[in-house]
Amino acid sequence: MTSTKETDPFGTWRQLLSSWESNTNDLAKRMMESEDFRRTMNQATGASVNAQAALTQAMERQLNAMNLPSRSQLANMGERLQAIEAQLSEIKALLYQVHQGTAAAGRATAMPRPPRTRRPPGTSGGAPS
Amino acid sequence: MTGAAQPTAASVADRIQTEVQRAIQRSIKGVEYFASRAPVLGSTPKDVIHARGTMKLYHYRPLADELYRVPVLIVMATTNRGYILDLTPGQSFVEFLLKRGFDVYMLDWTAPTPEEKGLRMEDYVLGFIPDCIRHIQQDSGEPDVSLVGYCFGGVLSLLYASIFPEGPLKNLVCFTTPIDFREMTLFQSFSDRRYFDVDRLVDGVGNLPPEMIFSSFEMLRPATRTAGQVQLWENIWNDEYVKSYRMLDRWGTDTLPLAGEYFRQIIKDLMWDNRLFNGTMSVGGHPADLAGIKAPILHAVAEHDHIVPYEAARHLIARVGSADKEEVILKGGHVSLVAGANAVKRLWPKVDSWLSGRSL
Repeated sequence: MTSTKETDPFGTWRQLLSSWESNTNDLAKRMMESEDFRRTMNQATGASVNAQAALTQAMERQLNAMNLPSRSQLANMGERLQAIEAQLSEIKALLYQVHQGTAAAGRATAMPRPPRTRRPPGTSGGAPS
Repeated sequence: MTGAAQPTAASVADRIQTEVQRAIQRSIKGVEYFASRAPVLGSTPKDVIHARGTMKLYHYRPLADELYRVPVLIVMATTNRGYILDLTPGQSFVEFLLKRGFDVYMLDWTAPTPEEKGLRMEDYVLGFIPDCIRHIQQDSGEPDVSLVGYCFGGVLSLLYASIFPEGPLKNLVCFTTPIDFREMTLFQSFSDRRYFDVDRLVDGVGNLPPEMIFSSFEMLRPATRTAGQVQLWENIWNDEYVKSYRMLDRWGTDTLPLAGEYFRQIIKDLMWDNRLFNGTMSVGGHPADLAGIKAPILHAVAEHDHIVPYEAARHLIARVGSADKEEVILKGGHVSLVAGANAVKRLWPKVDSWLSGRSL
């Protein structure tokens, strides 16, 4: 009997790929746990945050001079749209409750939900699906 | 045995023919891959029954004729979207629970707005979760609720359970939930308190950008994305593989920003001071000791989890005060534990069998 694996001419390539992935990840893990990496990475993150903040301020000034909306202004518009969406969701939820003929406690009656009487299969009175 | 290892000329020819066919399929499907739309995810019918800022509460429409009494609230991790638990029909944990007779709700997150950068842990644990539970009680008419928390959703659920031990929590299910943050060694490297100035970062950016979160996840296994793309090309003739790759890849890159103050607390209280593990955690002035948890608890962990290593999760069951508690270690990784072919066979039936008898 000959297995597929034994006649797979691409099996070696797959094994190589798998071991490359594993070895690279292991190597990176060891490197990232080192003291040097911790220091360098966090210095780079700090520098990047500062540079980004400075760039954002400069861009906002430029866009303002050109009478164009900045990213933060567009983000504000996005938030207002999101707020409108949230209000629509609330209205939808209220309509859903009304549609279900809510009782005082908000229980659905017009479209009754299945009864909450299910028991696990194999128990007395069980309800197998 | 040695004879069996020798490939015959016919078998080699068959194999080459298969590979040639696959090469042709790769070319055709490779074009289709870029031209076709990604699969629609999170399509199980649902209604938004409550939304407030970054929080959304979904109720999924029942798919069984008879329900267990106790509704289930899934609490999603704050870094990612909830559709990982509702990918496509047949690949959806939510759909699985619905078909098994559970009444399912999900607490999902949208990106916090710049105005929400001040959200703190207490907003999540003392605000959003209890708020959702109140809506579920009202919507279902049942006083009890079971929580299912995934990853950091599990941490939030644990904090909630420890602060409100008298209920209405009926059962708690945690998926791959860290409590000993010292053991998240790479995240410890990234947030080393000697070099990582979390105050400067949060004060500078407001909310933590999703790119930073995505990069930190990617850095845990830097070669895996490249290897995954090579494997995709190799398997692009296989529709199921491609579909699965696209679903998981889309979810993996769809990272959410984190509210700045909330992130600052995670770093200081959990990553630096390991307060949850040490029993010194408090949320909004309420002590959150795991020993205070009394509800039945199931903790499912993944054998090969590179995001939450087993060492970071393994003390949970020993620390909680519940009499009815169980840990189950399943094959798989952080994502394949909850989604994909393995989850269908391993985790989902386990949750069903554990939860069903406790949901009466």
